Amino acid sequence: MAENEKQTRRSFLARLWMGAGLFLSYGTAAFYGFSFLSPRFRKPQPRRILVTSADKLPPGATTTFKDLSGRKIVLVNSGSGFIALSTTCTHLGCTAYWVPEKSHFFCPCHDGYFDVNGTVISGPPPRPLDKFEVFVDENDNVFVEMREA
Amino acid sequence: MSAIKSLQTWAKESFPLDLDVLKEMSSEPIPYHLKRWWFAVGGTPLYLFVIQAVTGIMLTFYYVPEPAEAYNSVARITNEVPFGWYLRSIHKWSANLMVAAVILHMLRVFFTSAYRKPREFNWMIGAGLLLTSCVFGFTGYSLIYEQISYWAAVVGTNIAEATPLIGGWLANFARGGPEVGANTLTRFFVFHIGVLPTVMVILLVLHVVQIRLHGVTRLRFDERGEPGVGLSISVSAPVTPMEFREGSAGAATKEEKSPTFPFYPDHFYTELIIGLVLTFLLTILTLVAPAHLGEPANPLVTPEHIKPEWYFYATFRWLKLTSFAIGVIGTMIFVLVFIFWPFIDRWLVRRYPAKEISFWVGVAGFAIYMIFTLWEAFV
Repeated sequence: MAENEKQTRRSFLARLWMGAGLFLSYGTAAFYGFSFLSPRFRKPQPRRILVTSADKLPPGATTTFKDLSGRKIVLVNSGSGFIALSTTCTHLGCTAYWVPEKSHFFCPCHDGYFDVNGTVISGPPPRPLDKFEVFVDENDNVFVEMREA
Repeated sequence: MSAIKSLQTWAKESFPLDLDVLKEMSSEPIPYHLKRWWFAVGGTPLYLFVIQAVTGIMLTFYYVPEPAEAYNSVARITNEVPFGWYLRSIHKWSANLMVAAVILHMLRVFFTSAYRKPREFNWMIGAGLLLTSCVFGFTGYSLIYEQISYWAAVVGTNIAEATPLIGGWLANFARGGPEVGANTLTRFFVFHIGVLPTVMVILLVLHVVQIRLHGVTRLRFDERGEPGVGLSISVSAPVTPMEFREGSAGAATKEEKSPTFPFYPDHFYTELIIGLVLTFLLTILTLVAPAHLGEPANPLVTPEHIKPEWYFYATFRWLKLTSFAIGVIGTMIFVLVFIFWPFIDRWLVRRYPAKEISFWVGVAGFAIYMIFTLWEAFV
């Protein structure tokens, strides 16, 4: 502001209202823009999938099936129970695949290795492969509970 | 004749340019060391960016940013559209050369300490330009929707998800949902052709304005590096910007002067020649190694052998070698140190005035980058 321009109450209030108006209007526009660009998605719902019957999967055997997105899920009979493992690597989301001759899962993106129970053997994955809950009903049908949007 | 005269008058009235001012603006004194190509590499990324903008706009005429059609449209560009393979290859190679040119330019700036006061902000803009170039590359090869595209997008957005506090939002924002899919492709396309070019142009303008405001860094060479004779940067007494005087061993006084030459025509012609050589180089690279097309994206199967573009090799190797937290957080710390290096350097110079620690940090940093890059390339 030039020195000869004296700040009056009127000019101060005018600037204040102008500033507040600009802040509110652009702030509202920014909020709308932010909300517009932030994606919204439905909360995943639990769903039970019939995979196999228990007598078809003896201890030590594995079988694979796909979820609704088409991703592979591995069902293992560990002897002490059934384990359903996601094949999505817990490091950075690539797909790990089962190497039958070495009995481990291998993620090719950053060399992550998991054993048959999904536990990390070596490499950078921070935690075991995700597990899904398994239920066996009175007729020995094996169900896996998944959460899908 | 009168028609030409009236046209001239109209042009003068419509564009009242003062030619003397224009002449003065274009004859900015350039330090003599810019006669050497190594010091003139700063204009190269700009030239390559223009090539990418032109070829990119042309490719957009045929590209379809939709998962079911993206790969097919790139295949059509490559195999059916007249000279499509050539334009796509020029686009790809100019992107690669641009990243390489920015890295070379930043190396030159680093090892001549040209980022020091008062040019700290310009270094940060330069770092922003390098990061923008890398994101350009990342979004660019994700658009092809081949296997490497899809899985690079998966890994890249998962890295973003690990960002403290805003990671979840950032990853969902980039993907347009919880997983890589149709929304991701649309968003990457918008980033690649809209957001990033805008950011790039703003940063480039700021960068050039800063250079014009501060002038090109005048460097003091050691006794073997007489201007115009040949480059010789000694390790014990590196070249030093003349303005910087904060206990540095190579500091110079303001009275020291170095010969200069005008920007136009001398340096302008140098840039033109570099541009010509680059065009030649791009064509050779395109003919020898045209851009190929891999397997189409399969969201269910990660290919057994997967690698990103070469400029991410070092990060890729680092992520393989370390745990998740160290891998991701370490990468972020490296990027932050890189951006704010001028201030870290200033602290180091104050703390250890007699030692050129920054120089050796640079040597170590670049050596590690190269070792990781080569390791990933050949193993």
